[in-house]
Amino acid sequence: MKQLRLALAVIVCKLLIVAGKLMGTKSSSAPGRIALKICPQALELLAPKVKEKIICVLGTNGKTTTNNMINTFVTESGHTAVCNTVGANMLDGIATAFISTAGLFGSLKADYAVLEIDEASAKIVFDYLTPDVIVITNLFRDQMDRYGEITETLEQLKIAVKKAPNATLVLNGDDPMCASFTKSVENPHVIFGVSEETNQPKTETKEGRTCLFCGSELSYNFYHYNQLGDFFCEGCDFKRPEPDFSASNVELSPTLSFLLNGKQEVKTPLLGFYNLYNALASIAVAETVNLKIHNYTEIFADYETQTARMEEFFLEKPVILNLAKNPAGFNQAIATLKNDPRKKAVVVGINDMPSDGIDISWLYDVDFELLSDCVAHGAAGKRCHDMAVRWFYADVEDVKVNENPVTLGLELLETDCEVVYLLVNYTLIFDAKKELLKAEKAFGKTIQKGEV
Amino acid sequence: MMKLTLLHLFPELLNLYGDRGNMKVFEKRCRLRNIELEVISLPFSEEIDLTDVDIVYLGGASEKDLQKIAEKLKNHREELLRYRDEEGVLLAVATGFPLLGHSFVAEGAVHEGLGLIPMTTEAGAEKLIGNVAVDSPLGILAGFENHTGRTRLAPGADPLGTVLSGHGNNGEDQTEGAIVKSFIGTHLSGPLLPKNPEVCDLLIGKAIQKKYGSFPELAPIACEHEKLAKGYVLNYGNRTHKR
Repeated sequence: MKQLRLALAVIVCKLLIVAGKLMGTKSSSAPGRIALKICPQALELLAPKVKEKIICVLGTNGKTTTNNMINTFVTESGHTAVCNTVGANMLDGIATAFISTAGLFGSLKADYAVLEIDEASAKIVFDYLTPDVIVITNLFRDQMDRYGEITETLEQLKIAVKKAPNATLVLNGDDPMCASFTKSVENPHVIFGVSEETNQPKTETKEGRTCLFCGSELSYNFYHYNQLGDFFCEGCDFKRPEPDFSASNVELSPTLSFLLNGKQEVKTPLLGFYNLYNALASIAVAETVNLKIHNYTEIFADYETQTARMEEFFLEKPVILNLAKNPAGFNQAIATLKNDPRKKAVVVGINDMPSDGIDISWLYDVDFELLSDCVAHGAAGKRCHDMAVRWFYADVEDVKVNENPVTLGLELLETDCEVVYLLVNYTLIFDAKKELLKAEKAFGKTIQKGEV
Repeated sequence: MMKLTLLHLFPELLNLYGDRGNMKVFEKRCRLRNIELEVISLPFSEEIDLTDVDIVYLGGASEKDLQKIAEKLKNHREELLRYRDEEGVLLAVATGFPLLGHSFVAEGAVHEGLGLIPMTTEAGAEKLIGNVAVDSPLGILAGFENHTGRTRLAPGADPLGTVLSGHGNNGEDQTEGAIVKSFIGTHLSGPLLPKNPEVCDLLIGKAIQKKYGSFPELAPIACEHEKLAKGYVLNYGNRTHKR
């Protein structure tokens, strides 16, 4: 009976995905939700059919990138995988990923499962499947109206991890929040970190300035951004754990490269310091599950960045679209912009839908001041006026305002900038991408007609 | 040139929701009026001294840090009481606000507060969370609230305003915030002042009045977006609460 329900769930889910595609909607959660209604045990039945390991990626920022990198490593080394590449990271999305990979009668041909999971959902998902490897990328303040204070998120993750006591934890050792798991749970762990001082623009927003174990203020030998760095507590023995996978000789220009464990050079096509952590995390996982990859540079060369992580569109001037959802994400995007020597116009788009977080107080935790020297500024999204006020207090007074970030971006193309950056949050990103692709296509046609 | 000194209490702990936005507003609105503003960012490890201080700012802290902040402030209760009675200016937002009352809530328990504003805060069942619009003598104020405590004002404390949408002090009596002399407290969290510069100007004005003898004429500052941003919150409330 269970098998019959599973088969039915698989068929319905697959039909819904096809129907979604036909209608041009991105249905990554709804099919799984309905499939779980038909067969509530669908995940429990499918997950044990994964042959090798189930790898779960948790943390505030970098989940999707890290998850997709791991998936690339897994598939490029000749394995099959279940993966929620599109970032649907709650129970329904995980179910969709499994069921869309399953055969019509509930079989599953997958060596690995590579899953990013929302911080608040992990403790639910782990009731349905047991991970072998859990990556925690970092913990930053994020949507406090939804997740609560950062220490609450930490507690939620601890509850989740305790449901998988044998899983190997792959932890960002530079983040005191992540590193605390080496002391607070018994799981085996693998640490990654950056082993040298880097000159990142410093931000004021640090989480967990005080030691989670004794309450003393944490000190740093050096730090990279937010609370990430070589930390130690003067009040107790809590300090940055020695990394098993470390980066040194870090170069950010033209793209990210580094020396892995002091011996292997890794070159990537990625922009932005934060991607160093994503790359290290995924390499740490690849080595932990023994994928036997000899040349990471080669695989990174084929790695495609997912939607709107510094995604470039070609109009009469380049337009770069980037998703950022919280202060750490925005501050890292700003650091990447600062590395671009061209004359820049910048549009910041802020929506406040429930999946963005309805509280936008964090705009003042972002160092928008660092962008005051851009040649033109825009404020977009449902909270465009709040963003315009934010620019005002960053001493930018001439601000263009429009709810639609793309309309605004195209308007700013007319200024004497050489590149336009659109930094927008979650619910703005998909439409922005769609419109930019359309604009790019239209521009291509005008070139063909010789109008430019 | 007039000069004011602002004491920003423990910014490393009281920074939960973009509190530094409020500092930016104080700084810019003083600068544009040719008022020199010295901001003292006092770390938690250092001692409080209110001599020559014209404005005190108390932001929002995480629940785990609230008690130790309250303990430290209690050691200066007499000094703070005198400061209050001499019309010293203080702004407390978010979790910093209930600390000023007779009781506050942290990590599920009720603790003794500073008793600087006649009010009590007790634990509520659910979090009061969302956009808030308040009708105040200064005009409409707008912001965001996120608190479990239910604050009730006692005689001697006036509300900052009446709730138009959202929950306010306790979700029942339609009051939000409190004013006693030149102390203003509110549950509106984090960057209260960018959208509500009237509050900032009132505090600057009161500080100048205390230090220099008369309430100044502060030149208006043009930023039309504040009103539109406020309008968004007000309409958001009307849309979701349909009062």
